[in-house]
Amino acid sequence: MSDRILAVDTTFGACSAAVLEGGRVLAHRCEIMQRGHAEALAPMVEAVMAGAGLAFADLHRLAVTTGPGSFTGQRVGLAFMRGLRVALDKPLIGVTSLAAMAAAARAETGCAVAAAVHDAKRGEVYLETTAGHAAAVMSVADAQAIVAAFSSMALAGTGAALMALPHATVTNILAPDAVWVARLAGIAPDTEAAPRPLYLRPPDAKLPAAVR
Amino acid sequence: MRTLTVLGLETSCDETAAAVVRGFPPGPGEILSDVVFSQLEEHRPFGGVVPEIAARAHVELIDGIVARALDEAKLTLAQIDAVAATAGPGLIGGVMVGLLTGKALAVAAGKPLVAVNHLEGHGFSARLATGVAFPYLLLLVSGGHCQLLGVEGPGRFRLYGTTIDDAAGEAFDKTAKLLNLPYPGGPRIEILAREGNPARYALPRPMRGREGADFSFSGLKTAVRQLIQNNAVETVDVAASFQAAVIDILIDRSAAAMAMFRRDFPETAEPAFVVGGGVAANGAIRAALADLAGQEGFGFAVPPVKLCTDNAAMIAWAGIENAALGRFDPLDAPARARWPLSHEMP
Repeated sequence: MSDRILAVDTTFGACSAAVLEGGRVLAHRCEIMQRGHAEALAPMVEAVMAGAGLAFADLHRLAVTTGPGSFTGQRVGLAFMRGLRVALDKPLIGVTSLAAMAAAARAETGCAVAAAVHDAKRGEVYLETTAGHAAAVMSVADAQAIVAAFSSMALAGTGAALMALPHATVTNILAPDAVWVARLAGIAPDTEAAPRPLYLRPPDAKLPAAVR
Repeated sequence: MRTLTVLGLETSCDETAAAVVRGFPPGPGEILSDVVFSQLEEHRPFGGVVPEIAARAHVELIDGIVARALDEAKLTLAQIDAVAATAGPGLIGGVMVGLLTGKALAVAAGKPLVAVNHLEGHGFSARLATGVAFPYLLLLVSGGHCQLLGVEGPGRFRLYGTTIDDAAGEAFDKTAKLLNLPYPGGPRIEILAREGNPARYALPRPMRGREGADFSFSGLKTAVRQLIQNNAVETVDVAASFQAAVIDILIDRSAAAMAMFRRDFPETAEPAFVVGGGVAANGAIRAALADLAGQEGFGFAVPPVKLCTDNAAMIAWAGIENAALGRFDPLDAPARARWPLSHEMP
Protein backbone atom coordinates (compact mmCIF):
# COMPACT_ATOMS: atom_id res chain seq x y z
CA MET A 1 0.00 0.00 0.00
CA SER A 2 1.37 3.42 -0.89
CA ASP A 3 -1.13 5.36 1.21
CA ARG A 4 0.19 8.57 2.70
CA ILE A 5 -0.94 8.93 6.31
CA LEU A 6 -0.60 11.76 8.83
CA ALA A 7 -0.91 10.54 12.43
CA VAL A 8 -0.71 12.28 15.79
CA ASP A 9 -0.86 11.35 19.46
CA THR A 10 -1.40 13.54 22.54
CA THR A 11 -3.01 11.08 24.96
CA PHE A 12 -0.26 10.55 27.55
CA GLY A 13 3.08 12.08 28.50
CA ALA A 14 4.27 12.80 24.97
CA CYS A 15 3.25 14.66 21.84
CA SER A 16 4.08 13.12 18.47
CA ALA A 17 3.27 13.48 14.80
CA ALA A 18 4.37 11.41 11.81
CA VAL A 19 3.86 11.15 8.07
CA LEU A 20 4.17 7.68 6.54
CA GLU A 21 4.00 6.54 2.94
CA GLY A 22 3.33 2.87 2.36
CA GLY A 23 4.61 2.10 5.86
CA ARG A 24 7.80 4.11 5.36
CA VAL A 25 8.40 7.05 7.71
CA LEU A 26 8.76 10.29 5.74
CA ALA A 27 8.83 12.61 8.76
CA HIS A 28 8.52 12.14 12.49
CA ARG A 29 8.58 14.31 15.61
CA CYS A 30 8.13 13.24 19.21
CA GLU A 31 8.52 15.29 22.38
CA ILE A 32 8.13 14.08 25.94
CA MET A 33 5.75 16.43 27.78
CA GLN A 34 3.30 16.20 30.65
CA ARG A 35 1.53 19.39 29.58
CA GLY A 36 1.61 21.77 26.65
CA HIS A 37 0.16 19.43 24.02
CA ALA A 38 -2.39 22.07 22.96
CA GLU A 39 0.42 24.49 22.14
CA ALA A 40 2.85 21.96 20.61
CA LEU A 41 0.59 19.93 18.33
CA ALA A 42 -0.25 22.30 15.46
CA PRO A 43 3.36 23.51 14.86
CA MET A 44 4.52 19.89 15.08
CA VAL A 45 2.05 18.82 12.40
CA GLU A 46 3.15 21.73 10.22
CA ALA A 47 6.77 20.63 10.74
CA VAL A 48 6.23 16.98 9.77
CA MET A 49 4.25 17.97 6.69
CA ALA A 50 7.09 20.28 5.64
CA GLY A 51 9.63 17.58 6.53
CA ALA A 52 7.79 15.08 4.35
CA GLY A 53 7.61 17.64 1.56
CA LEU A 54 3.86 17.15 1.28
CA ALA A 55 0.82 19.38 1.07
CA PHE A 56 -2.27 18.37 3.05
CA ALA A 57 -4.02 17.59 -0.23
CA ASP A 58 -1.41 14.85 -0.88
CA LEU A 59 -2.57 12.81 2.13
CA HIS A 60 -4.88 9.83 1.79
CA ARG A 61 -5.66 9.24 5.41
CA LEU A 62 -5.51 10.82 8.84
CA ALA A 63 -5.05 8.95 12.11
CA VAL A 64 -5.33 9.82 15.78
CA THR A 65 -5.31 8.10 19.16
CA THR A 66 -8.79 8.12 20.70
CA GLY A 67 -7.74 7.21 24.25
CA PRO A 68 -7.56 6.15 26.93
CA GLY A 69 -5.39 8.97 28.21
CA SER A 70 -5.66 12.24 30.05
CA PHE A 71 -9.13 13.54 29.18
CA THR A 72 -7.68 16.84 28.01
CA GLY A 73 -4.93 15.17 25.99
CA GLN A 74 -7.42 12.93 24.24
CA ARG A 75 -9.46 15.94 23.17
CA VAL A 76 -6.46 17.96 21.99
CA GLY A 77 -5.59 15.32 19.40
CA LEU A 78 -9.17 14.52 18.46
CA ALA A 79 -10.32 18.14 18.15
CA PHE A 80 -7.35 18.94 15.92
CA MET A 81 -7.64 15.87 13.70
CA ARG A 82 -11.42 16.09 13.45
CA GLY A 83 -10.87 19.69 12.33
CA LEU A 84 -8.42 18.49 9.67
CA ARG A 85 -10.92 15.83 8.61
CA VAL A 86 -13.61 18.45 7.99
CA ALA A 87 -11.19 20.81 6.24
CA LEU A 88 -9.62 18.16 3.99
CA ASP A 89 -12.50 15.73 3.54
CA LYS A 90 -10.18 12.77 4.19
CA PRO A 91 -10.97 9.65 6.26
CA LEU A 92 -9.81 9.86 9.89
CA ILE A 93 -8.98 6.58 11.61
CA GLY A 94 -9.07 6.22 15.39
CA VAL A 95 -6.59 3.92 17.15
CA THR A 96 -6.44 3.34 20.90
CA SER A 97 -3.39 4.70 22.71
CA LEU A 98 -2.77 1.27 24.26
CA ALA A 99 -2.93 -0.54 20.91
CA ALA A 100 -0.24 1.77 19.52
CA MET A 101 1.95 1.20 22.59
CA ALA A 102 1.47 -2.59 22.55
CA ALA A 103 2.23 -2.78 18.81
CA ALA A 104 5.43 -0.82 19.35
CA ALA A 105 6.44 -3.04 22.29
CA ARG A 106 5.85 -6.22 20.29
CA ALA A 107 7.90 -4.95 17.37
CA GLU A 108 10.72 -3.76 19.62
CA THR A 109 11.04 -7.05 21.54
CA GLY A 110 10.04 -9.64 18.98
CA CYS A 111 7.65 -11.15 21.52
CA ALA A 112 4.55 -12.87 20.11
CA VAL A 113 2.24 -11.00 22.48
CA ALA A 114 2.38 -7.57 24.08
CA ALA A 115 0.29 -5.70 26.61
CA ALA A 116 0.08 -1.98 27.28
CA VAL A 117 -0.66 -1.24 30.92
CA HIS A 118 -1.12 2.35 32.06
CA ASP A 119 -1.14 3.18 35.76
CA ALA A 120 -4.53 4.88 36.08
CA LYS A 121 -4.03 5.49 39.87
CA ARG A 122 -6.66 4.67 42.51
CA GLY A 123 -5.51 1.02 42.37
CA GLU A 124 -6.54 0.65 38.73
CA VAL A 125 -4.86 0.30 35.35
CA TYR A 126 -5.90 0.72 31.72
CA LEU A 127 -4.99 -2.50 29.88
CA GLU A 128 -5.04 -3.73 26.30
CA THR A 129 -3.19 -6.69 24.74
CA THR A 130 -2.35 -7.69 21.20
CA ALA A 131 -4.06 -11.01 22.02
CA GLY A 132 -7.61 -9.70 21.97
CA HIS A 133 -8.13 -7.91 25.28
CA ALA A 134 -9.74 -4.60 24.29
CA ALA A 135 -8.85 -1.42 26.17
CA ALA A 136 -10.47 -1.45 29.61
CA VAL A 137 -10.04 -0.08 33.10
CA MET A 138 -9.58 -2.73 35.79
CA SER A 139 -8.03 -3.40 39.18
CA VAL A 140 -4.31 -4.15 39.31
CA ALA A 141 -5.16 -7.71 40.45
CA ASP A 142 -7.44 -8.34 37.45
CA ALA A 143 -4.74 -7.05 35.11
CA GLN A 144 -2.14 -9.28 36.75
CA ALA A 145 -4.43 -12.28 36.21
CA ILE A 146 -4.75 -11.48 32.50
CA VAL A 147 -1.05 -11.11 31.82
CA ALA A 148 -0.12 -14.14 34.01
CA ALA A 149 -1.84 -16.38 31.45
CA PHE A 150 0.94 -15.71 28.93
CA SER A 151 4.21 -17.61 29.10
CA SER A 152 6.11 -14.68 27.60
CA MET A 153 5.10 -11.20 26.63
CA ALA A 154 6.29 -7.63 26.10
CA LEU A 155 5.00 -4.90 28.38
CA ALA A 156 4.61 -1.17 27.75
CA GLY A 157 3.17 1.63 29.82
CA THR A 158 3.57 3.28 33.22
CA GLY A 159 1.73 0.33 34.82
CA ALA A 160 4.12 -2.35 33.47
CA ALA A 161 6.02 -2.55 36.78
CA LEU A 162 2.76 -3.17 38.64
CA MET A 163 2.32 -6.44 36.72
CA ALA A 164 5.20 -8.12 38.67
CA LEU A 165 5.67 -10.60 35.86
CA PRO A 166 9.01 -12.47 35.97
CA HIS A 167 8.82 -13.75 32.40
CA ALA A 168 7.83 -10.44 30.81
CA THR A 169 10.08 -8.19 28.74
CA VAL A 170 9.46 -4.70 30.04
CA THR A 171 10.07 -1.95 27.48
CA ASN A 172 10.56 1.74 28.25
CA ILE A 173 7.57 2.67 26.07
CA LEU A 174 5.37 4.92 28.23
CA ALA A 175 3.29 6.69 25.58
CA PRO A 176 2.16 6.00 22.01
CA ASP A 177 4.25 7.13 19.08
CA ALA A 178 2.48 8.56 16.04
CA VAL A 179 4.51 6.21 13.79
CA TRP A 180 2.67 3.24 15.28
CA VAL A 181 -0.63 5.08 15.22
CA ALA A 182 -0.11 5.51 11.47
CA ARG A 183 0.89 1.86 10.99
CA LEU A 184 -2.21 0.56 12.78
CA ALA A 185 -4.42 3.03 10.93
CA GLY A 186 -2.86 1.90 7.66
CA ILE A 187 -4.26 -1.59 8.08
CA ALA A 188 -7.64 -0.50 9.51
CA PRO A 189 -10.74 -0.44 7.31
CA ASP A 190 -11.91 2.93 5.98
CA THR A 191 -14.56 4.67 7.99
CA GLU A 192 -17.05 7.40 7.18
CA ALA A 193 -17.73 8.55 10.72
CA ALA A 194 -15.37 10.63 12.83
CA PRO A 195 -13.72 8.68 15.66
CA ARG A 196 -14.89 9.55 19.15
CA PRO A 197 -12.87 9.80 22.35
CA LEU A 198 -12.55 6.56 24.30
CA TYR A 199 -13.03 7.52 27.95
CA LEU A 200 -12.58 4.65 30.38
CA ARG A 201 -13.84 6.73 33.28
CA PRO A 202 -16.92 8.93 33.69
CA PRO A 203 -16.57 12.69 34.27
CA ASP A 204 -15.93 13.80 37.84
CA ALA A 205 -19.35 15.29 38.33
CA LYS A 206 -21.72 14.67 41.17
CA LEU A 207 -25.41 15.34 41.12
CA PRO A 208 -26.32 17.92 43.75
CA ALA A 209 -27.05 16.31 47.13
CA ALA A 210 -30.52 17.79 47.26
CA VAL A 211 -31.79 16.98 43.79
CA ARG A 212 -35.26 18.33 43.36
CA MET B 1 -14.92 48.63 -0.24
CA ARG B 2 -12.55 46.26 1.48
CA THR B 3 -14.18 43.40 3.37
CA LEU B 4 -12.97 40.39 5.31
CA THR B 5 -14.78 37.07 5.70
CA VAL B 6 -13.94 35.24 8.91
CA LEU B 7 -15.04 31.91 10.40
CA GLY B 8 -15.49 32.09 14.18
CA LEU B 9 -15.55 29.27 16.75
CA GLU B 10 -16.81 29.53 20.34
CA THR B 11 -16.51 26.76 22.97
CA SER B 12 -15.59 28.56 26.20
CA CYS B 13 -18.63 27.61 28.29
CA ASP B 14 -21.72 25.54 27.49
CA GLU B 15 -22.46 26.77 23.97
CA THR B 16 -20.82 25.07 21.00
CA ALA B 17 -20.94 27.58 18.16
CA ALA B 18 -19.55 28.49 14.75
CA ALA B 19 -20.37 31.44 12.49
CA VAL B 20 -19.23 33.17 9.33
CA VAL B 21 -19.20 36.98 9.33
CA ARG B 22 -18.24 39.41 6.56
CA GLY B 23 -17.36 43.06 6.98
CA PHE B 24 -14.74 45.57 7.96
CA PRO B 25 -14.23 47.86 10.96
CA PRO B 26 -16.01 49.86 12.25
CA GLY B 27 -18.88 47.67 11.08
CA PRO B 28 -21.67 46.84 10.95
CA GLY B 29 -20.92 43.34 9.71
CA GLU B 30 -23.01 40.85 7.81
CA ILE B 31 -23.66 37.56 9.58
CA LEU B 32 -23.63 34.94 6.83
CA SER B 33 -24.28 32.07 9.24
CA ASP B 34 -24.56 31.68 13.00
CA VAL B 35 -24.93 28.16 14.41
CA VAL B 36 -25.24 27.73 18.17
CA PHE B 37 -25.82 24.47 20.01
CA SER B 38 -26.69 24.97 23.66
CA GLN B 39 -25.69 22.15 26.03
CA LEU B 40 -28.37 23.24 28.50
CA GLU B 41 -29.89 19.76 28.76
CA GLU B 42 -26.52 18.10 29.43
CA HIS B 43 -25.91 20.31 32.46
CA ARG B 44 -29.44 20.79 33.78
CA PRO B 45 -29.33 17.79 36.20
CA PHE B 46 -26.28 19.30 37.89
CA GLY B 47 -27.78 22.76 38.35
CA GLY B 48 -24.81 24.37 36.64
CA VAL B 49 -22.18 23.87 33.97
CA VAL B 50 -19.89 20.88 34.64
CA PRO B 51 -16.55 21.57 32.91
CA GLU B 52 -15.70 17.97 31.96
CA ILE B 53 -19.19 17.31 30.60
CA ALA B 54 -19.00 20.53 28.58
CA ALA B 55 -15.60 19.61 27.13
CA ARG B 56 -16.85 16.12 26.20
CA ALA B 57 -19.81 17.61 24.35
CA HIS B 58 -17.73 20.28 22.55
CA VAL B 59 -15.34 17.75 21.00
CA GLU B 60 -18.22 15.68 19.62
CA LEU B 61 -20.06 18.71 18.22
CA ILE B 62 -17.75 21.47 17.03
CA ASP B 63 -16.56 19.92 13.75
CA GLY B 64 -20.11 19.26 12.56
CA ILE B 65 -21.18 22.76 13.59
CA VAL B 66 -18.27 24.28 11.66
CA ALA B 67 -19.30 22.30 8.57
CA ARG B 68 -22.88 23.54 8.98
CA ALA B 69 -21.80 27.16 9.43
CA LEU B 70 -19.76 27.03 6.20
CA ASP B 71 -22.63 25.28 4.46
CA GLU B 72 -25.22 27.85 5.52
CA ALA B 73 -22.88 30.66 4.46
CA LYS B 74 -22.50 28.84 1.11
CA LEU B 75 -18.73 29.17 1.39
CA THR B 76 -15.76 26.82 1.48
CA LEU B 77 -12.77 27.24 3.77
CA ALA B 78 -10.78 28.42 0.75
CA GLN B 79 -13.09 31.46 0.51
CA ILE B 80 -12.50 32.48 4.15
CA ASP B 81 -9.85 35.11 4.95
CA ALA B 82 -9.04 33.93 8.49
CA VAL B 83 -10.11 31.53 11.23
CA ALA B 84 -10.95 33.04 14.63
CA ALA B 85 -11.35 30.83 17.70
CA THR B 86 -11.97 31.72 21.32
CA ALA B 87 -8.70 31.09 23.18
CA GLY B 88 -10.00 32.16 26.60
CA PRO B 89 -11.01 33.12 29.17
CA GLY B 90 -13.32 30.24 29.99
CA LEU B 91 -13.49 26.58 30.92
CA ILE B 92 -10.09 25.43 29.74
CA GLY B 93 -11.11 21.97 28.46
CA GLY B 94 -13.70 23.48 26.17
CA VAL B 95 -11.50 26.39 25.09
CA MET B 96 -8.81 23.89 24.02
CA VAL B 97 -11.29 21.97 21.85
CA GLY B 98 -12.39 25.05 19.91
CA LEU B 99 -8.90 26.49 19.63
CA LEU B 100 -7.39 23.19 18.40
CA THR B 101 -10.20 22.81 15.88
CA GLY B 102 -9.55 26.36 14.71
CA LYS B 103 -5.81 25.71 14.41
CA ALA B 104 -6.51 22.62 12.30
CA LEU B 105 -8.82 24.53 9.96
CA ALA B 106 -6.28 27.34 9.63
CA VAL B 107 -3.29 25.11 8.97
CA ALA B 108 -5.21 22.88 6.54
CA ALA B 109 -6.58 25.79 4.54
CA GLY B 110 -3.42 27.89 4.76
CA LYS B 111 -5.32 30.73 6.46
CA PRO B 112 -4.18 32.91 9.35
CA LEU B 113 -5.44 32.24 12.88
CA VAL B 114 -6.82 34.77 15.34
CA ALA B 115 -6.85 33.51 18.95
CA VAL B 116 -9.74 35.61 20.23
CA ASN B 117 -10.28 36.89 23.75
CA HIS B 118 -13.91 35.96 24.45
CA LEU B 119 -14.38 39.24 26.34
CA GLU B 120 -13.19 41.17 23.30
CA GLY B 121 -15.89 39.29 21.39
CA HIS B 122 -18.55 40.61 23.76
CA GLY B 123 -16.93 44.03 23.81
CA PHE B 124 -16.99 44.48 20.01
CA SER B 125 -20.40 42.90 19.32
CA ALA B 126 -22.05 46.34 19.23
CA ARG B 127 -19.73 47.24 16.33
CA LEU B 128 -20.81 44.09 14.52
CA ALA B 129 -24.44 45.11 15.09
CA THR B 130 -24.36 48.86 14.49
CA GLY B 131 -20.81 50.02 13.69
CA VAL B 132 -20.13 52.11 16.83
CA ALA B 133 -16.92 54.17 16.55
CA PHE B 134 -13.97 53.83 18.96
CA PRO B 135 -13.47 54.99 21.65
CA TYR B 136 -16.56 54.01 23.67
CA LEU B 137 -17.46 53.08 27.19
CA LEU B 138 -18.29 49.41 27.62
CA LEU B 139 -20.25 47.75 30.40
CA LEU B 140 -19.57 44.03 30.14
CA VAL B 141 -22.07 42.10 32.26
CA SER B 142 -22.28 38.32 32.09
CA GLY B 143 -22.29 35.23 34.28
CA GLY B 144 -18.53 35.41 34.62
CA HIS B 145 -17.73 39.11 34.30
CA CYS B 146 -18.80 42.57 35.38
CA GLN B 147 -16.52 45.30 34.09
CA LEU B 148 -16.54 48.88 32.89
CA LEU B 149 -13.95 49.57 30.21
CA GLY B 150 -12.85 52.33 27.91
CA VAL B 151 -12.46 50.64 24.51
CA GLU B 152 -10.04 52.09 21.99
CA GLY B 153 -9.52 49.06 19.74
CA PRO B 154 -8.34 45.46 19.70
CA GLY B 155 -6.05 44.92 22.68
CA ARG B 156 -6.60 48.51 23.86
CA PHE B 157 -8.79 48.73 26.93
CA ARG B 158 -8.82 50.96 30.03
CA LEU B 159 -10.26 49.24 33.06
CA TYR B 160 -12.47 51.65 35.02
CA GLY B 161 -14.17 49.16 37.27
CA THR B 162 -14.56 45.46 37.89
CA THR B 163 -16.35 43.25 40.37
CA ILE B 164 -14.43 42.52 43.54
CA ASP B 165 -16.41 39.29 44.11
CA ASP B 166 -19.34 37.87 42.11
CA ALA B 167 -20.35 38.78 38.57
CA ALA B 168 -23.79 40.29 38.03
CA GLY B 169 -25.02 37.26 36.11
CA GLU B 170 -23.77 35.02 38.89
CA ALA B 171 -25.87 37.02 41.38
CA PHE B 172 -28.90 36.48 39.14
CA ASP B 173 -28.32 32.74 38.90
CA LYS B 174 -27.67 32.35 42.64
CA THR B 175 -30.77 34.34 43.55
CA ALA B 176 -32.79 32.17 41.17
CA LYS B 177 -31.40 29.06 42.88
CA LEU B 178 -32.38 30.43 46.31
CA LEU B 179 -35.89 30.99 44.92
CA ASN B 180 -35.97 27.37 43.67
CA LEU B 181 -36.33 28.50 40.07
CA PRO B 182 -35.36 25.87 37.49
CA TYR B 183 -31.86 26.10 35.98
CA PRO B 184 -30.81 28.39 34.39
CA GLY B 185 -32.66 30.80 36.61
CA GLY B 186 -31.20 34.22 35.72
CA PRO B 187 -33.53 34.96 32.80
CA ARG B 188 -36.55 33.84 34.86
CA ILE B 189 -35.89 36.54 37.45
CA GLU B 190 -36.69 39.20 34.86
CA ILE B 191 -39.98 37.54 33.96
CA LEU B 192 -41.05 37.21 37.60
CA ALA B 193 -39.89 40.73 38.44
CA ARG B 194 -42.47 42.16 36.05
CA GLU B 195 -45.21 40.91 38.38
CA GLY B 196 -43.52 41.95 41.61
CA ASN B 197 -43.12 45.03 43.77
CA PRO B 198 -39.51 46.26 43.65
CA ALA B 199 -39.97 48.27 46.86
CA ARG B 200 -41.31 45.35 48.91
CA TYR B 201 -37.96 44.23 50.36
CA ALA B 202 -35.09 46.48 51.33
CA LEU B 203 -31.88 45.04 49.84
CA PRO B 204 -28.38 46.57 49.97
CA ARG B 205 -26.65 48.33 47.06
CA PRO B 206 -22.97 47.54 47.79
CA MET B 207 -20.31 50.03 46.60
CA ARG B 208 -22.90 52.62 45.60
CA GLY B 209 -21.44 56.10 45.81
CA ARG B 210 -17.91 54.79 46.43
CA GLU B 211 -14.92 56.25 44.68
CA GLY B 212 -13.99 54.45 41.45
CA ALA B 213 -16.34 52.22 39.49
CA ASP B 214 -15.86 48.78 41.06
CA PHE B 215 -18.76 46.43 41.75
CA SER B 216 -19.66 44.01 44.51
CA PHE B 217 -22.60 41.61 44.47
CA SER B 218 -21.85 39.06 47.18
CA GLY B 219 -23.43 41.19 49.93
CA LEU B 220 -26.60 41.48 47.89
CA LYS B 221 -26.66 37.72 47.39
CA THR B 222 -26.19 37.14 51.15
CA ALA B 223 -29.00 39.58 51.94
CA VAL B 224 -31.31 37.71 49.56
CA ARG B 225 -30.40 34.40 51.21
CA GLN B 226 -31.11 35.74 54.70
CA LEU B 227 -34.36 37.30 53.52
CA ILE B 228 -35.56 34.01 52.04
CA GLN B 229 -34.37 31.84 54.93
CA ASN B 230 -35.88 34.00 57.66
CA ASN B 231 -39.15 35.03 56.10
CA ALA B 232 -42.09 33.66 54.17
CA VAL B 233 -41.42 35.67 51.03
CA GLU B 234 -43.36 36.46 47.90
CA THR B 235 -41.21 35.14 45.04
CA VAL B 236 -42.18 37.82 42.53
CA ASP B 237 -41.43 40.59 45.04
CA VAL B 238 -38.00 39.12 45.86
CA ALA B 239 -37.25 38.94 42.12
CA ALA B 240 -38.37 42.54 41.60
CA SER B 241 -36.54 43.87 44.67
CA PHE B 242 -33.35 42.01 43.73
CA GLN B 243 -33.43 43.19 40.13
CA ALA B 244 -34.05 46.78 41.25
CA ALA B 245 -30.97 46.58 43.50
CA VAL B 246 -28.82 45.25 40.63
CA ILE B 247 -30.07 48.03 38.36
CA ASP B 248 -29.27 50.69 40.98
CA ILE B 249 -25.74 49.30 41.34
CA LEU B 250 -25.16 49.15 37.58
CA ILE B 251 -26.49 52.70 37.12
CA ASP B 252 -24.38 54.17 39.92
CA ARG B 253 -21.16 52.49 38.80
CA SER B 254 -21.77 53.21 35.11
CA ALA B 255 -22.35 56.90 35.90
CA ALA B 256 -19.02 56.96 37.76
CA ALA B 257 -17.27 55.34 34.79
CA MET B 258 -18.86 57.85 32.41
CA ALA B 259 -17.14 60.64 34.32
CA MET B 260 -13.82 58.79 34.08
CA PHE B 261 -14.32 58.23 30.36
CA ARG B 262 -15.08 61.94 29.81
CA ARG B 263 -11.85 62.82 31.61
CA ASP B 264 -9.81 60.38 29.47
CA PHE B 265 -11.46 61.23 26.15
CA PRO B 266 -12.53 64.89 26.36
CA GLU B 267 -12.36 65.27 22.58
CA THR B 268 -15.03 62.59 21.98
CA ALA B 269 -18.09 64.81 21.62
CA GLU B 270 -20.92 62.29 21.86
CA PRO B 271 -19.36 59.07 23.07
CA ALA B 272 -21.27 55.79 23.03
CA PHE B 273 -22.16 53.71 26.05
CA VAL B 274 -22.15 50.07 24.95
CA VAL B 275 -23.52 47.16 26.95
CA GLY B 276 -22.47 43.58 26.21
CA GLY B 277 -22.67 40.14 27.79
CA GLY B 278 -25.51 37.82 28.71
CA VAL B 279 -27.03 40.11 31.37
CA ALA B 280 -27.55 42.73 28.64
CA ALA B 281 -30.33 40.45 27.41
CA ASN B 282 -32.35 41.63 30.45
CA GLY B 283 -34.87 44.18 29.15
CA ALA B 284 -35.29 46.08 32.43
CA ILE B 285 -31.53 46.54 32.73
CA ARG B 286 -31.25 47.66 29.10
CA ALA B 287 -34.00 50.22 29.59
CA ALA B 288 -32.47 51.66 32.77
CA LEU B 289 -29.01 51.90 31.20
CA ALA B 290 -30.46 53.55 28.09
CA ASP B 291 -32.07 56.19 30.33
CA LEU B 292 -28.77 56.81 32.09
CA ALA B 293 -26.96 57.19 28.76
CA GLY B 294 -29.56 59.75 27.64
CA GLN B 295 -29.20 61.78 30.85
CA GLU B 296 -25.41 61.79 30.66
CA GLY B 297 -25.20 62.71 26.97
CA PHE B 298 -23.92 59.33 25.83
CA GLY B 299 -25.20 57.50 22.79
CA PHE B 300 -26.52 54.06 23.72
CA ALA B 301 -25.76 50.83 21.88
CA VAL B 302 -26.69 47.35 22.90
CA PRO B 303 -26.46 44.42 20.50
CA PRO B 304 -29.52 42.27 19.78
CA VAL B 305 -30.18 39.62 22.44
CA LYS B 306 -28.78 36.83 20.25
CA LEU B 307 -25.43 38.64 20.15
CA CYS B 308 -25.43 39.29 23.93
CA THR B 309 -25.33 35.65 24.98
CA ASP B 310 -22.37 33.48 23.97
CA ASN B 311 -22.19 33.08 20.19
CA ALA B 312 -19.61 32.64 17.48
CA ALA B 313 -20.63 35.61 15.30
CA MET B 314 -19.04 37.96 17.84
CA ILE B 315 -15.88 35.82 17.81
CA ALA B 316 -15.75 35.99 14.02
CA TRP B 317 -16.23 39.78 14.24
CA ALA B 318 -13.44 40.11 16.83
CA GLY B 319 -11.39 38.13 14.30
CA ILE B 320 -12.23 40.75 11.65
CA GLU B 321 -11.26 43.61 14.01
CA ASN B 322 -7.87 42.00 14.67
CA ALA B 323 -7.27 40.80 11.11
CA ALA B 324 -7.94 44.31 9.77
CA LEU B 325 -4.94 45.48 11.83
CA GLY B 326 -2.82 42.50 10.80
CA ARG B 327 -3.05 41.07 14.32
CA PHE B 328 -2.76 37.29 13.90
CA ASP B 329 -1.59 34.55 16.24
CA PRO B 330 0.93 31.74 15.84
CA LEU B 331 -0.11 28.08 15.75
CA ASP B 332 1.27 27.55 19.26
CA ALA B 333 -1.13 30.13 20.73
CA PRO B 334 -2.16 28.91 24.20
CA ALA B 335 -5.64 28.29 25.55
CA ARG B 336 -6.13 30.43 28.67
CA ALA B 337 -8.51 29.91 31.57
CA ARG B 338 -7.87 33.54 32.65
CA TRP B 339 -7.22 36.35 30.24
CA PRO B 340 -8.10 39.84 31.42
CA LEU B 341 -8.62 42.59 28.86
CA SER B 342 -5.74 44.96 29.22
CA HIS B 343 -4.19 48.03 27.75
CA GLU B 344 -1.26 46.91 25.65
CA MET B 345 1.78 49.15 25.46
CA PRO B 346 2.18 50.55 21.95
